[in-house]
Amino acid sequence: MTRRTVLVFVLCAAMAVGAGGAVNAQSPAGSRGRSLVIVQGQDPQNWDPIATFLLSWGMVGCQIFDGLVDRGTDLKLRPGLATSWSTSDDGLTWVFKLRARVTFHDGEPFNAAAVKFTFDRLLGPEGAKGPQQGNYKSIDHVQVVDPYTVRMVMKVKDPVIITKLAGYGAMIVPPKYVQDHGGAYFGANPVGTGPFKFVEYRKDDHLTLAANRTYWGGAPRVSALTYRFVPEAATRVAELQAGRADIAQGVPVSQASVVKGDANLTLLPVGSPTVLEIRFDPSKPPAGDVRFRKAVIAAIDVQKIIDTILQGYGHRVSTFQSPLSFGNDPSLKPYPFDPARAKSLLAEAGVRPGTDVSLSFPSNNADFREAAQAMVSYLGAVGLKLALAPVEQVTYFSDVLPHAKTGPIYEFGWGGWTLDFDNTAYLLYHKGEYWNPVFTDADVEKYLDAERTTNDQRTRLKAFQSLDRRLYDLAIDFPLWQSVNLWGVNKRVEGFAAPPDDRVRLLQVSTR
Amino acid sequence: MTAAQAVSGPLPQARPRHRRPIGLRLTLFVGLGLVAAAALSAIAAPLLAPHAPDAADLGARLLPPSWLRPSAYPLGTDAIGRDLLSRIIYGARVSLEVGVLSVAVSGIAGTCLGLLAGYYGGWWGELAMRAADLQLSFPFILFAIVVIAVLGPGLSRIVLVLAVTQWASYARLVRSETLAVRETDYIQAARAIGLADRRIIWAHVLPNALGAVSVLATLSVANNILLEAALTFLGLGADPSIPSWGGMLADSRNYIQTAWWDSTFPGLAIMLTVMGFNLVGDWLRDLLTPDTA
Amino acid sequence: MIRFVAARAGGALAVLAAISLFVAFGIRLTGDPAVVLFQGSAPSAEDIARIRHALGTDRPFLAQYAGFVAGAVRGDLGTSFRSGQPVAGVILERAGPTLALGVGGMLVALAAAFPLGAYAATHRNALADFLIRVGSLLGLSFPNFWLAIMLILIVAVRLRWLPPSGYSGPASLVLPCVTLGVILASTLVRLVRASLLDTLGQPYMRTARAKGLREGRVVVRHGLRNALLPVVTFVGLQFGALLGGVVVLENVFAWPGLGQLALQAVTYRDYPVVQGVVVVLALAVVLVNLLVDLSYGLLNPRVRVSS
Repeated sequence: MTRRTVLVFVLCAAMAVGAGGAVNAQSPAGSRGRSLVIVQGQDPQNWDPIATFLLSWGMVGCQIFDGLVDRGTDLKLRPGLATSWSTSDDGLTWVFKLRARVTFHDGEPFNAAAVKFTFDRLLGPEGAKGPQQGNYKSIDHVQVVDPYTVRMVMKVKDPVIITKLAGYGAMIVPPKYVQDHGGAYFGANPVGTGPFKFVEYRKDDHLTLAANRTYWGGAPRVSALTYRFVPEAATRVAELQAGRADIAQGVPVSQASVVKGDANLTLLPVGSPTVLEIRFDPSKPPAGDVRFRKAVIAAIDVQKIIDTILQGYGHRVSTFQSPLSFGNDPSLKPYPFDPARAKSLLAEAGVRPGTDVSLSFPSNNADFREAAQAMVSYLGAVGLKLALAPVEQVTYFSDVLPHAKTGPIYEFGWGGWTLDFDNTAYLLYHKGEYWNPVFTDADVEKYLDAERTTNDQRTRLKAFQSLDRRLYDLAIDFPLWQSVNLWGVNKRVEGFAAPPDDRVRLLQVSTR
Repeated sequence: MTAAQAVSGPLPQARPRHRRPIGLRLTLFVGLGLVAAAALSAIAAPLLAPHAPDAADLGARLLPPSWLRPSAYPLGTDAIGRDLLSRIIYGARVSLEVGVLSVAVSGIAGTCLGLLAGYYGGWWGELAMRAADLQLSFPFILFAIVVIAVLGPGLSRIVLVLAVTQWASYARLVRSETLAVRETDYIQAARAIGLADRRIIWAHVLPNALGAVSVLATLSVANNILLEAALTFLGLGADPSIPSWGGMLADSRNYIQTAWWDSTFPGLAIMLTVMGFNLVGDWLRDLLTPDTA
Repeated sequence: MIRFVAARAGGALAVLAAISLFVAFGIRLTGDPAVVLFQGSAPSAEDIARIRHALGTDRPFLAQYAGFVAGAVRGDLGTSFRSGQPVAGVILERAGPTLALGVGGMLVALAAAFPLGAYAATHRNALADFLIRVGSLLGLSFPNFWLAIMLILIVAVRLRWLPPSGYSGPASLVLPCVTLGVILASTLVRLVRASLLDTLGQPYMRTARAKGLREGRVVVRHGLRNALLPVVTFVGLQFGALLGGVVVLENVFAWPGLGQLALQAVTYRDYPVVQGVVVVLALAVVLVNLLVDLSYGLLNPRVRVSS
């Protein structure tokens, strides 16, 4: 008996030690006052701006850091830490006038030296360890002109550099703090100039921020933010329903009616620049035959899928870009749904009824997963036996896709952040690019070249329209829909606008 | 006791067999009935199912069971508009295949290794047990992710992962049972009079071990059906249009509040099948390790 | 005895070495962490080469493995690719929540299984026995994530008694531990019942009763103590599998433990963390197995392994 009592005591002690490490209890909405709790699905694990591309970083990081240039909810660029900028005629020099009387959260002054430090770090050996550096390769170096003016010298002309300066890698970091503590500490205890300052962080659990009363854009009306990282979508919705979270990112469409039906909650849909499509790998028969591709496209009723499975939360597209993208041709109508034509095309192509084809896709996209199952039925109706191959997401995008290990049909999604079709089109249709290991076409190359080598937007638009047409005729991919992200918000939160780029902006947000 | 008695008589721990109480026979029939129902479902699915399991009707999504709102779908439909009852009937195929096949492979392999390691011991026995330790210490999820990332998704991968990760439990269990029996006077005597090892193992050691093995096996069938659900939940599952009870549970977890039937009925199917296997397993265990009532 | 432990310790080290080698090799078959860091964009070949060099993954496999082992014996398990933090520190930070969950779940399971199993065994074939057996089957029939979500919906959302998820104090421990405990108890109840049925019929039990000991004392003193053997065996066998179940539960309950850490590390190909976690977990499993084997000898003298 004594042995057992000892054992039980030891176990309880172990539990107490474990539980003792837990942090402040979460509280229901009523007791939270002017602080907010936000639940998101992923913890990027490193708050250093040069360390990642993940959207989940932006949700938090943009409260702590600012860039020279800022992006609003309307996705338009505006002055951030730089009040104005100008460029030389050859475009190889940019001069930025900096905002005065701004301090970092640790008391350091923001000035030209800080900007130089940031870019030296980004472009130097520290930045070489992270993925952001590659985005800023067009910059040669940054010079201090005076305490509130910097000159950025470019290696090559970069027409989208101003857009890129709103990106993570270019967010300004405090020189003294980073040098004193080192990059690893900085990644877990970030300091910036943003509207909220870091208080504490527990990996994969929560991160707490407090309002920065001396923020240059005005003090936030919310006193504190707690971000909680909850990977399972059903749990995030439960947190909203239980009143323990105020804002939930990534509400799945399947739970939309739950949020809408709750008297305390609001569902905020927002269109994002991300577009989903299915692509064909022409090296895997029968996808090499354009008639087969057109048949598959004609067999699937995408509008019906959007209306039912997506409950209308998605916009039909005809090319692989959102309506906001430059290069979009509104006169090009989406492929029509025509199962009879699909059958005749298949017969023409000599594809016998009952032929097996497979569709590879990342398993974590719940909406596409359901759409894919509907496609099994649609393709079955025209005589194709579709097998689904769900692949774990990271494996899919880092191994299967770039090495052409998919089946003849596969899923692809892409966020066109530059709002210009060039970025997407080049990566997807130019021969040998990372996302395009197999496909190539002479006309496509011609049009791509035409739009890349000029700055005249009219010429570029015409090139894009020809490109759009050619891709449409080739049917090398089947653009499906532009994604709509769903956010769930508690009604005690006022002034929250769902962000199309996942960068939550909380300066104007208050609680009732 | 003469040597002859020692060999042919009962084991020291053996007790006279009693007539089984009626209760026990009833549970056996119920168990066999449930297992047979699941097997029948799997085999005769095309004859039993009212609809095709992958026939989607997007206009008929998430319909409730037909006694709540009349429709052609007795148990309602899922998020793609497919008949739930048909998918449950067809789902028996995958769930039974995953559950039974993985247990059969790992059980047979593990039992053989455990018997040999326990009976003969020695260097090879130790090696086998270290290998079992290795297998048991290797985190299942990691193994599953690596295997499925390298080989691609699919049901055969899932069965492979389950079989490879579970043989070690049988090996350890059987070895310990074998060790316990090996040291008894009874077995020592049998070896002393020169009875062949194979005969001893087969006739005396194995039946003792099988009692414990049958419990573990029936538990494992249930467990493996659920592990398939867990793997699907983590994104490692197979083709979602092929119905499997575990997969249906994983895919319907976001509809618990709006379409409870989509997870309840597959869950019930699992429960009844699991119950069936466990009842049969209990009977097997009682048969192989007699006791006094 | 000393020889026994020493032999097992040697074996344990061999197991750890083998596991670390398998893991280091296996995880490198599945994708390049340099590429994974570029999630959301398209890296150029030079970008990838640059990152691979910074992470050290462009060195030959044996060099990387040797580096890991050399560090590990000193207690330095390397640095996480994703967060830049030392792996040993990360693991220590996350061990607490998983320990709390595992121990709590086991306590719940034992607290339920022993009384229920004993009651079922002593009232064999009565209605109570039947209900307990069916109830235990229910616990075995639903996947852990489903049980977890149901509990969250009922207790946290409808009733609002407890927080739905997260690691924030004693209240947040309840739902995860109960979920785990229910699942474990379902098997343990049957084990306890079966073992008690075996023991209660033994001749020496008749002797105990004949001596005049109260039935309860008989059951508890002798019966339950003997039931410890299969329970301990079960814990030992299932410890590794337990960790697998914990991964799913930590995912649903947003529990910042080793299970989540392992899952994320494998998903994002964070080699040092994967290697570190697997070695630490393997060490734990080996230790538990050693304890189980030792207790075998204590609990059942017949099984003592003769050298």
